Amino acid sequence: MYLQIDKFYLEIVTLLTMITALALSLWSARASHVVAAISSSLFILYGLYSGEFRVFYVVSGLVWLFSSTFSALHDRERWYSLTFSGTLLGIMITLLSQNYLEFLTGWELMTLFAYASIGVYRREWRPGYTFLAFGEVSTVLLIAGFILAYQETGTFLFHTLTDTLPLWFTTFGFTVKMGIFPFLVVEWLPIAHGNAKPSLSSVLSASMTLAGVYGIYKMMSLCPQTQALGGVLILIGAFSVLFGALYSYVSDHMKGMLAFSTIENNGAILTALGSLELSADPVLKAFAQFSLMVYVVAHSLAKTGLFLVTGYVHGESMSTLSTERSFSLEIGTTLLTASMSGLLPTVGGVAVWSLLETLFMESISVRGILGLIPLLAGVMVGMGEGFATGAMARFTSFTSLVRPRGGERGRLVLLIGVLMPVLALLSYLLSPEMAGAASLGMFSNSLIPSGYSGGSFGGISPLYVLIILPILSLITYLASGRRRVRTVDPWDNGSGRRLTYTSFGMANNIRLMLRFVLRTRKGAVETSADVFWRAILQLVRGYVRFSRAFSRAYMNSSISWYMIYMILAFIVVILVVFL
Amino acid sequence: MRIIGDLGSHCLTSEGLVEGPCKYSHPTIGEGGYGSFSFLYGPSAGGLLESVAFDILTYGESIEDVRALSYKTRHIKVGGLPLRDVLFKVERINVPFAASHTIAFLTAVENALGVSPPEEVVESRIAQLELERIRNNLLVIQRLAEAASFLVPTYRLLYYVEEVNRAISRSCGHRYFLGANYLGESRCQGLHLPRIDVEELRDLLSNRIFIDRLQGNGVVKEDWAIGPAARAAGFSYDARLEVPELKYRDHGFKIVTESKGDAFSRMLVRLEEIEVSLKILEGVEVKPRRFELPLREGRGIGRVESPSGDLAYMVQVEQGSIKELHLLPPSRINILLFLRSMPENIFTDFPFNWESFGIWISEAEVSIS
Amino acid sequence: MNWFLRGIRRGILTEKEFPQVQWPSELHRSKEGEVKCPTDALKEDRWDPNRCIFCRACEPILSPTGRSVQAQVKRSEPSFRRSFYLYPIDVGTCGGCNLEFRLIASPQHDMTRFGIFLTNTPRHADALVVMGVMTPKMEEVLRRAYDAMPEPKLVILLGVCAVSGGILGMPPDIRGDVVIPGCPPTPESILRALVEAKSGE
Repeated sequence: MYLQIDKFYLEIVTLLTMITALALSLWSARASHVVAAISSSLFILYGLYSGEFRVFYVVSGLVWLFSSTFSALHDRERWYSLTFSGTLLGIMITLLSQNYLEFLTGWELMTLFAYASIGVYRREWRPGYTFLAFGEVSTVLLIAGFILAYQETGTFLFHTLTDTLPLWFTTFGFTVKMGIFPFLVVEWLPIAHGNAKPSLSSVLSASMTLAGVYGIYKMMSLCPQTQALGGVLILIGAFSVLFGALYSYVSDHMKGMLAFSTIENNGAILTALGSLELSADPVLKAFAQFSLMVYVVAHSLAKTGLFLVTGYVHGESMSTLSTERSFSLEIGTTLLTASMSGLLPTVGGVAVWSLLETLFMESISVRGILGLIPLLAGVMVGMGEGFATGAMARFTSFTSLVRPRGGERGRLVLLIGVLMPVLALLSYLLSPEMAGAASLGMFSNSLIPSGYSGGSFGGISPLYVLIILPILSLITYLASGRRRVRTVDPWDNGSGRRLTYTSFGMANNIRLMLRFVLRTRKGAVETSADVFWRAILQLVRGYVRFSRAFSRAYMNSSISWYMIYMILAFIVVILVVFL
Repeated sequence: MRIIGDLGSHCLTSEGLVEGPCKYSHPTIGEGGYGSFSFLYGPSAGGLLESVAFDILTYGESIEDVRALSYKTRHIKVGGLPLRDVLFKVERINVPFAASHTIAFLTAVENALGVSPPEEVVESRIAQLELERIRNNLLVIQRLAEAASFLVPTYRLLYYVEEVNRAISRSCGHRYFLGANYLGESRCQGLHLPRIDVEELRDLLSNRIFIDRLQGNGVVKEDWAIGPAARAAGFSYDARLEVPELKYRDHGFKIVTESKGDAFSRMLVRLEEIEVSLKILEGVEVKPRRFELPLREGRGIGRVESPSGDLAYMVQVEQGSIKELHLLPPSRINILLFLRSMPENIFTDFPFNWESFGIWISEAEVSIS
Repeated sequence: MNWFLRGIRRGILTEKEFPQVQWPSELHRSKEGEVKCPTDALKEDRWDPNRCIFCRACEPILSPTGRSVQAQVKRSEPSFRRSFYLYPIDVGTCGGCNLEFRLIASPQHDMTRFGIFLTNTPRHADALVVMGVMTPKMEEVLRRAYDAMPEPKLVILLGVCAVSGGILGMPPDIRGDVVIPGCPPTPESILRALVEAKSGE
């Protein structure tokens, strides 16, 4: 039976449900979160019936579904449900927008609600200010780009453009929001210092930055190809991968390190976007498109899961936090970090592999000096992934594996974790091509090949790995049988002191080795990551000052005025959407 | 005047005893900030020859401060025992330095009784001390090579250590000089020199990877340092020049110094001293000899240059028994130097710096009553 | 590379026969007379190598034969025939046993030709080599090391201190499967005892 769903009505219902969630938040936080979860599910359904942007919709819907479910279980504050559902609504409007105005309205709504959410929590406004200041910088760049587009086409509707200038402007507007270097304070500061709640952190990190990716992707589809922008994006992206991963490796702040990891992932996505823009080869372009989509899926969902893990932990510092591990958290966190580390058979493995393949194929197929860019980027991404693996191993260990056992918590994390290998299988659906390699035991269509017009390059088979791993384990088990198990205390050189090592200590080798890059200060309380963001903050102090002046003049430094501003903005949005 | 170390309640200096204890500058004790923790190395770990533990304050990899924890403290009773039985115990305080301990102890007893041993005994003692120094310096360099997993030299050096042991065994009957010296007697018979190719050992200095581990590691500049650690820092401290009982000056002894004070300089000093010792041995004759020890009372100090620095005994003898006995083992000073030179290094530097001092826990942690 | 080439040029240095050592070696009575032994190693004319510190106080009534001191192997373990991993533990030595034990790895002795190796943790060890007199703080360390070892396991008491306490103290409170006397035992007698303990040639 073929189920015909009218997309338009589904869209309206989804939006109305989220608005209901927003309204309900005034009455009950839980009800609001439950309705937000329902709206997210409807959005996933809507996404499944969409064409080109299906992946963005489905992934965003899943992120919202998981984080609002988590909030429904754990969060009780009404102000929080208000700002949370408001942020979701903003992103939803952005993704559904049919023209530049709707897009901007959604964008602004998202920024403001997220700002309020960061600021209200713990009443610390500085991170919020910074967030807002960058939000406005981003908005200004977007408006500039959109106005240029309007001048060319005479309409606010998304329309094919012949000039690349709107793309340049908007792309930089979006990268500011994605927290790409050198704007990483946008991403890192509010999450680490404002200590946003886990569900909001995951929305900020996974979904809001995804909206930026969506924006660039959308503008790319409207504008003519520009190789220069491609090269620039690849370089900025790869640089962000390397430094995001490096700072994630040395950061001892639990959410801070995840935020840096997001910068790394966003960098990788930007690199994928750049390589899509750089290559003119249709076969290679299709593969770059594949790697972009897989990366979007892998990053958004794994990062959502990891931020939710932080909800089960007391404390913020990796070295001093306290928590208990459970079966669900152990398996879930391990699968999530395996995916983040780019290990097969998880979706992250497919993502990292395909991105590196794209870059290296481009380095041989793109002619001239431009071909060096993807080569350089490939090296940086490779190094970055190495740091990422180290950072993620530390995260799993100190949030779960080395902790005492207790309770049965974190089933939601387990669910998202199990999605990682499942999504690796689903990545076949996104692949432009499938092949077989019977000689290796990979039968028809179980291989995702990478290739360009000049020939084939490589291949990977998540299915093969997924099947062969348990089989090999089983064979080993059957062959050797269950051995006698002897439990002894770990050998602590006979001291009986149960030797321990801290998370800070695990990363200190890199802090010492790269002390000139990281500006490590010996014996200082702050981590080198803190030193880094202070340096960055100095660079952008102008922005922050501007934002303070701006917000004082504009909103009179009072929470009630922000609320009024938001309500007004909200009314405008409703009008724009429905008229 | 230089400080040598605490001997009983006094401070021994190159000019003799002064009211103690010796005045050392206080080290700055490292404090741990966020992320620091204490990491324990030892007491029983593969890389350590003896049982000892180090409590290392670290941020991970880095060494902010080190404390040594004693584990194998032996309590040895000597008070009121006849000299003979005390001698057997003194020989076994640190067997790798048995000649140094025994000769310092016997010198102290002879000084207490007002006796000067005959020429042959003095020559035999010089021979024993230099053979012991050669063996120990080879061992220290061997431990350094082993810490770097530099395996061919490691085993070449072990070969030489064994050769020296055999030479000692042929000369004195025991591989570690046990029973070679007795009250009023020296029992070594003839001198068998080990064949050591010093040029081969110098080849270690051409290995950049190896010497990188040693250079700049564990810099010692303290003026109260002793032995190879002091000489590596440019101080011309050597009991062989300062103590009148053993007539080193007659044997063409030349002091070896370096300037940097790091683990590499300490190794260089030990390497050169092997050659100096071999030279001294060329001009020494070893014959057994007895002499009379009178039954008197008295107090005396005996000091020798052990392979790792000044080693001194102070004894009070009454009617052929020990009334009081104090020991200044070189390892006690060297541990202080080691602990002070360790902060600001990283874990990897630890074994190289530790081995470069030639410390024996057995003598450092012994408690004598 | 220099070291490597020179190592080859020097040829094989490993020995089948080792040079005689006088002290310590098996003692025999060569004269009649009264001996004041500081460790009671001589009782009713019988010489007990497990108590002897070879201090030469009994010379010349007892004199050395030059024959390597015989170790007592009370239990050997055939499963260690091909590889025998040792974990040394020093519970209070003078350093002598540590050094002689180290020298069984010297090219002249080459313990590896008999399949004898050292390990850095008791969890991988087949035998625990105990050296020295018992010191209070090492008691717990010794027990932990013994508990950490997998079965089957051997305990080797190395040197007179570990066997009977010698002249300096009390022996550690642990039953030895292999007892190697000597002060310190020579590498030759250590090697012979180890080979016998692993049921070798």
